[in-house]
This record gives sequence, structure tokens and C-alpha cells, in this order.
Amino acid sequence: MVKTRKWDAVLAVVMLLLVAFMYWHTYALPQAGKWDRLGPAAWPRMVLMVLGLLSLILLVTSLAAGRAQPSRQPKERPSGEGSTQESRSNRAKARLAVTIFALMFAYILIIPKLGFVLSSIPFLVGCQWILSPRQTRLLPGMVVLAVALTLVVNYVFARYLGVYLPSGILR
Amino acid sequence: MRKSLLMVLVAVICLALLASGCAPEAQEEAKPQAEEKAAEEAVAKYPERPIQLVIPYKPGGATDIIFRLVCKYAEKHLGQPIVCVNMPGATSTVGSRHVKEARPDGYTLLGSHDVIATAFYSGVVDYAFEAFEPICLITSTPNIATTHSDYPWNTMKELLEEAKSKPGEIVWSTTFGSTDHFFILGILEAAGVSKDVLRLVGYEGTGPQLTALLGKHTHGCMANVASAMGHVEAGDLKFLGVAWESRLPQIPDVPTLKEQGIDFAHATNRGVFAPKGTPEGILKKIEEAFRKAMEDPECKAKIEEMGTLVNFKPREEYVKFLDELMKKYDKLAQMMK
Amino acid sequence: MEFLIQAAAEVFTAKVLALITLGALAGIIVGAIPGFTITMGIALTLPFTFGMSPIEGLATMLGVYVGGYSGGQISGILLGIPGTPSSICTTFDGHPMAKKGQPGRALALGVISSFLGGLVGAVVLIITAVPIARFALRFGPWEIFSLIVFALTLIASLGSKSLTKGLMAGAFGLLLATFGIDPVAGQLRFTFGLHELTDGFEFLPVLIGLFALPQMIDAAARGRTETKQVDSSFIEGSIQVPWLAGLREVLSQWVNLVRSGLIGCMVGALPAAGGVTSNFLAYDQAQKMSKHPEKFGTGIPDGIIASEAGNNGTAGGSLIPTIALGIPGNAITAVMLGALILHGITPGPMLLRHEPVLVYGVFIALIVAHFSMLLLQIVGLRGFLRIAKAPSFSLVPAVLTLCVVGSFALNNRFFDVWVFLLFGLIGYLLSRLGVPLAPVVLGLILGPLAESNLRQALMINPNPNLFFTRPISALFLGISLLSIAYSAWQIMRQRKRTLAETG
Repeated sequence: MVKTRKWDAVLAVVMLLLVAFMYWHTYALPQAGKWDRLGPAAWPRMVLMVLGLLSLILLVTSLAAGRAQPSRQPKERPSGEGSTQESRSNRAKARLAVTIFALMFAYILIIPKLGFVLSSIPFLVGCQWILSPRQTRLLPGMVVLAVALTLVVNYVFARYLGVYLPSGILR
Repeated sequence: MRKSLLMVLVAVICLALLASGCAPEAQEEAKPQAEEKAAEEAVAKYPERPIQLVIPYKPGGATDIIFRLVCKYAEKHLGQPIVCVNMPGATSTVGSRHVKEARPDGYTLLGSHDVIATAFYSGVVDYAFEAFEPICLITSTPNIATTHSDYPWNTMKELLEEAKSKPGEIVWSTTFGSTDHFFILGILEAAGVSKDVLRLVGYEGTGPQLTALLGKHTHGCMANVASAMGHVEAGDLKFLGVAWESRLPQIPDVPTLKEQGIDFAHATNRGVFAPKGTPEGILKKIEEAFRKAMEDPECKAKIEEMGTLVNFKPREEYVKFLDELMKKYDKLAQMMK
Repeated sequence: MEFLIQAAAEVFTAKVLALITLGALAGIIVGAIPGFTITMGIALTLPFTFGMSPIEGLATMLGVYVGGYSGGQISGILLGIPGTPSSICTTFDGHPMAKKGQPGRALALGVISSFLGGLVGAVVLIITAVPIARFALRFGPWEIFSLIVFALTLIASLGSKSLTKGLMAGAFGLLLATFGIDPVAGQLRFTFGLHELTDGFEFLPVLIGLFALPQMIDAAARGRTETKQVDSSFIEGSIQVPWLAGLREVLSQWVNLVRSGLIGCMVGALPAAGGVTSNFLAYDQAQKMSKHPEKFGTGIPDGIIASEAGNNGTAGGSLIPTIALGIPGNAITAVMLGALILHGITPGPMLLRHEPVLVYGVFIALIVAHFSMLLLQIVGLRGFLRIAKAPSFSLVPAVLTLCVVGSFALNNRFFDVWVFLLFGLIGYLLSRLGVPLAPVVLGLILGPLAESNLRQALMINPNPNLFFTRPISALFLGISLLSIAYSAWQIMRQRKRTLAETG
């Protein structure tokens, strides 16, 4: 929580860059038609102006607040006690988030190649294992869940919804 | 503990990359001769599993209902279910692109209509009918110019006369880039009036256009029997003219546009398409199934109840028909510029 | 009266009742699984209805419809992921309550409010369908645009600590909505050469990405850091559902219940608006009328009741234009109209005169569907609760897999799965930075409506003053101003209070 102000400024800058890029892009859009006086570009521009203005406000207020409290006083924190523990758990959470995103990325990447069944089972087992307290006696349950869920979903979608999940190399 | 976590991660990502690198090569190594034989066998055995028919519109619309209905009858003759899947969006090109890029094995089909041409000419996509194997035409739905009963005009001719004297006063709704946009331009051209006499306002789809017309926010739109008949019966809307060669059996009192001196006849023509390169033998089997479905009196009656004409054309005729259709749309597209 | 009896005789047969219940069961299931939509469920039932009589077919679909609206809250409350977009606001208070160890209470409140709110909608439908539908037709693009402007002002009060960030989130949502084909002129915008973006971002993957991934990471972190035990379950607390206590609680807030049901019903009757808008409006009104608005979002019953009564009221409301005018209120009622056309029945203003038995049958079936839904929920809720009691290390990967499948199944496109992951990342980062996510969704949904109605209005008549001179439009713009003023006043008051407390 200490660095809230700094991160606000980062968010504002990222948004401003996005706004600038998109606004530049609106000039590539077709001109307004005969009756359509606003045309395809006007609305996105209005939205971009609003978003840009709000980002500027956020940037200014966060910088101003940062200057007002140059030294990181614990005032910013909701409460003083347990802050070290909190930041440790925050860091652990961020690490967990990175892990989950990486796993998801890998999972989504391999589905078209290996197929839904062959990629979901390792993903489900692996992800469960990483999130769990990692005791071998839990493993059989995880594998059963992974296999059952994958096969049931695959069957139900193909049979009742006409959706064929990628079959990959099993075809 | 962190290390083990990292190891698992690295292992998973390596596996992923490995898999993405290896899989395609393995497939390409298959022997060409064996493949040919397998292809022949696939044609003979077709269909071995359910067939997917993509409807590029939301459920509930005319296209959706007609294809779902016809598929129910056609699948009896194929021995495998035809599963209809809606993939709406982007002037119907989300669905059409899916089929265009699907395996040409006859298990993914497209049920669509003239919009394939209009999406091309309005610049949404860079492909039209030639990107598919047309299988057969099944129905034609004539379009009808429609207005609110409180307005003074009784025919399209009267409406256009007034539009000519007061350009830009009459508000006509249309879905830009879709079929009805081309239809109204075609009518204006056939009537010999400038395309700017009507104030064209964009709405997404026929439903919202009818709602706007019922609320008298607009002056008219293109509709069809199924979508507007209820409102005409109730006295809220009236038909101005049928864009077809002859009067329609459900509304014998409504004159055609031709009778009004506007030489324009055009319908929304719905047909079945397969991805380019689908084996001819498979196309033949599908065509047969749909032909039998369209000959079924029960199916026919249900379609006619919806104000749509059964208009079956087999593959060869359909290809020629689409050629002609493209020429028509090409001409109309010139007008849009 | 005799039509009513005839209609009742048609509905109260074993077959129709069984069909409604089956439909409601299917609806609850598709509603409860994140990534599955009610529209999907309805489209699936359509082919089955070909062989049925019109009333049987419609009754089945009504079951799916009602069940789906009440199913969306299950994952919303238990997992914090709205199962359907129309239950987003249910998560605001439902999920915190469940996390506090009262998942049963939250679900009981949600189900009972759905049931009663839906009945409010049904009663309004039966009594006033025709005049309301006629009135709704007067809503031209001017009125709808002003209504959307009003709905957008809700962002200001959507429970964010920072007003600027809340508004930014809303504008970001509006921006996302401009990707893809433009709703009026059909021109491509911001596709950056990706043909998958021709239709913009698909709504559902964005929604589940924004909500599901941050929620799942939270849950996984809680599961790991809090307890090192094996049975650290996803949801703590008893799996008992206190139905009677819930009923008492809902009835004690009958004003909130009826108001929310009515809001849902009215919004449902308007062209283009729907369950999402009504859900937000009902929640916002409940908050503004409340004596303790600051408690909203912390897990209080008021919020759950407003949200769920609101979205189930929409079920009855959206049938108003469908039945009275033959105009579908949303994708779901469009399918129902399709089924009618298929049976050779012309929907439209004459339906009530030509097919009175069918129309009354629909009314009765709608009410019966609510009872079936309630019954199924009473029987089945404990099952869902038991699933939520599963250890979070198992539940999190399972939910993530379902989200992937749901995103893919929507359009059979792998691109949408990447969209899901991308917005999961964006959602996670934004929520870490204290940016609320609900305004993004609201902006994403209302953006195209706002733009197309604004442009249509100016295309029909280039005079912008019409927005202020058409009475209904002016009324909505006036309420919007009041709404902003109220939010500003509330924020000032709260700031003063916190200053007084800390200083």
C-alpha cells in the first residue's frame, strides 16, 4: 500500500499513452457520411478525450500528493501493525499470480497443438499440485478430478452443444 | 519450495514450446498415397459423425429459424445429426470466416445468404462466394417496402414522389453494409431517383428498424412477411410494395414494385455452403439430403407459413445463380460510392 | 376468464410441468457455470421445441429463462464470478457475505429475491402489458440515449474509493466497446489488421476474464497463506441454507424488493436495455434510498435483494414488448418469437386477440417457472454449496478450465480464449491498483447503445436541442444531473466523516 501514489501515476501515464495512440488512430477512420454527421470517429474521440482528461487528473493529484509526503510515512497505510507481514503476503500473492498466469499461458498455448484432453489433464493436475500443500496422498484425488472433468466436459460439449474442442494429435 | 515451483513452471513452458514446434511436422510426414486412399474412404463413409452447420446470425432471426428447421428434415436423410451453431457478428463474417477456414471435410457447413456478397462489397471482408463451395439454394424471401399506417403514402411510388420534392425529409432506416442497404439503393436506382433523396439512418438488424418505425421515429424500412405481418394485420404498419416478380400469396392485395413502375425484384436467397476444397462426393450427399428436405411437404408448408418461398437449386445451377447475383451487387456497390 | 381456465388446463398437465422444470434445471446449470449464457441454453432448446405444441415449447424456454437468471447468482455469490452478466451486482454483496461464512444466507436471500422479484415482473406483465408496450415505443433514439447517460452516471456511485478511478474504469469500458465494426455505419474501427477483431471484443470472455482471474488468484492465495491445512475449503461456513430466515429478511425489505422488481420490469420492457442495466439500476436505487448507503458492498442483504429482484423482474418485463407488440426485448425473447413463427403463429399486436389461450398460457407458465426454479434451488443448492466447499486448490484450476472452455465455445474461436487471458491480466492489474471492475463492464455494455442512439438521433434530425426539448429525454437528463449531484454530495459527506474520525 506504500507505493499507491506512485502506481497511480504509472497507471495514469499508461492510460495517457493508450489514449494518444488510439486518438492518432482515429484519423485513419473513414469520414462522416452524408447524413451521419458524427461519423465513425466522433464517438471514440469523445470517449478518448474523457479518458485522457481523467488520466490527467489522476496524474496531477498523485504527483501532488507525492510531493506533499515525500518521505514514505506510515500515514498512507491503513493501520501500522502487521505491515511487514502484510507486505510479505502481498509479495507471495503477486508470485502466485505470476505462476497462475504463466500456467494459463502455457495451457492455452498447447491446447491447439496437443488438443483439449491432452493439455487439460496436465494443466489441472499441475495447477492443483502447485496450489495445494503438496502432499502425495492428495495426488490420486487430483488426478481423478483432472481426468473426470476433462472427459466429461469434452463429451458434453461434443454430444450436446455441437462444439468440438480442439482434438490436436488425438485425431 | 520456490525452486520446485519454478521447476514445474519451466517444465510446463518447455513442454508447451516443444509441442508447438513438433506437432505440425509430424502431420506433414504422412504418405501421400495413403492419404488419397483415406480421402476416398472418407467420402464413402461420410457422414460418420454429427455435422456442424454454422448460422452467422443470432438465434431467433429468420436465417436461424429457416436453417434450424430445414436441418431437422435434412438430417433424416444423412443418418447423422446436423447441429446448428450460431456465430453472429460483424455483418455475419464471424461465422462465414469460421467455415471458410474450417477443414474441408464436410463436417462444417455454412447457412447464409446474399450477405456474403454485401459484406464483401462494403469492405468488411475480402472474400465473397468464391471462397466457398456452394452446395444448394434452399429458399428465397422477397423483401417488402414498409411504412407506418399513419403516414399518407400507399405505394412506394407515392413515397418516392414526395421524397423527390423534399429531399432529405423522409427518414428510411437500413443496416449499413447489409442486404437491405443494397436493396433500398437498388430501388432508388430502378425508380430513377438520386440516392440522396432519402435520409438513410443506420440500425442494427430488422427488429430495431421495425421498433423505430412503430414508434414513428422513422418513415420506412425494408421488411418481410414473417417480421412485419403481425403489425400490418393489427393496422400499425402497411406494405408499400413487394420487391418480387409476382404478388405474394399471403398478401395478394399488395402490388409489386414492378407494377408501380419500379423495375426491381430481389429476395434474400438462403443457401448452404462448404469450405473450399470439400470433396465433390461429399457435396453431392449433402445436396441430396437438402433436396429431399425441401421436397418434404411438411417442411415446405412450414417455410411458406413464414412468407418465404421454397426455391431449391442444385449445386451447378446455384453456382451460376451466384455469378449473376455478384454481378447485380457489383452494380449496386458502384452506386454506394 | 374462460381463456384463463383453458390456458391453465393446458399448462397444468404432467408433460408441460415436467418440461418447465427440466428447462429451469438446464437454465440454472448454464447460468451457474461461468462462461455459459442463458442465450446459449435457449438456442439449444429451440430444436427440441420443433416437435412440441407452441405452449409446450414456450413453457420449456420460459423455464430455461427463469432458471438461468436465478442460476447466475450461484457462482456470483460463491466464487465472486458472475455466472451471467445480469448478476454482476449480486457479487458486490453476495460474495463478501459468503466469505464472511454465510454462503447459505446469501444464496437464500438471492433465490428468494429472484423468486419474488420475478413474480412482481410477472404480475406487471399480466396487468399492464399492452399500455406499457405502447408507451415504450415512444422511446426514440433521443430518449434511449438520455436513459443510457443516466445509467452511465451510476458509475460515479459504484462503490469505489476513488471517484477518478471509477470514472476512468467506465471510460475504459466505453473505449473497449468502440473496437470492431461500428454500430451505425458498418465501418471497421481499431481492428489493427486482426480479422478476429472485426466484431470487437466478445463480451463474455472480457467479463469472465476481468472477474474470474482476479477472484481465482485471490482465492488461491487465501487457500495457501491462511491455512496450511489440507482441507482449506473455498468457502467457509455451514452448507445449511436458512430458507425461512431468508424469507423473513427479504419480506422485511419489501419496499426494496418491489422497487427493484419494478425497475427490472420497466427496463426489460424498453427496447435494447436488458438484465444488465436493470441489475445495476436496481442496485443503485437501493443504495441511494438506503439509510446506510456506505454499507453497500460489504455484504449486506439489501444489495443482494435489489440485484436479484431486479434481474428476475426483467424476465417478465422483456416479455411485455414480446407479447404485446411482437418485438423481442432481448436475444432470449427473440428465440421465443422465432419458435412462434415456426408454428405458424404471427407474433404482433394481434397475438392477444388471435391466440388468447396461448398468451394466458405463457403468463401462467412464467409464474409456474418461478415455482419450479424455487423448488429446484431448494433441492439443489446444497449440492452447489458442497462444490464450493471443495478445497480451493482443486476448485480454482477447475473453474479456470471451464472459463477457457466457455470462452472457446462461444464462437468456436481460439482468439476469444486469448481475449479471456488478456482481460484476466488487465483485470488483475487494475484491481491491484484499486480500479473498480464493474464500471468497465457497464461501459462495455452501454457504449454501443449510447453511440448508436446518439448518432441515429442526429441522423434523423441534426438538431441537438431535441435531447432537451423532448420531455422524456429531458427528464432522464435531469435525473442524471441529480444522480451526479447526489453522488458528489455523498462523497463529500463521507470525506468529512473520515476526516472527523481520524482528525
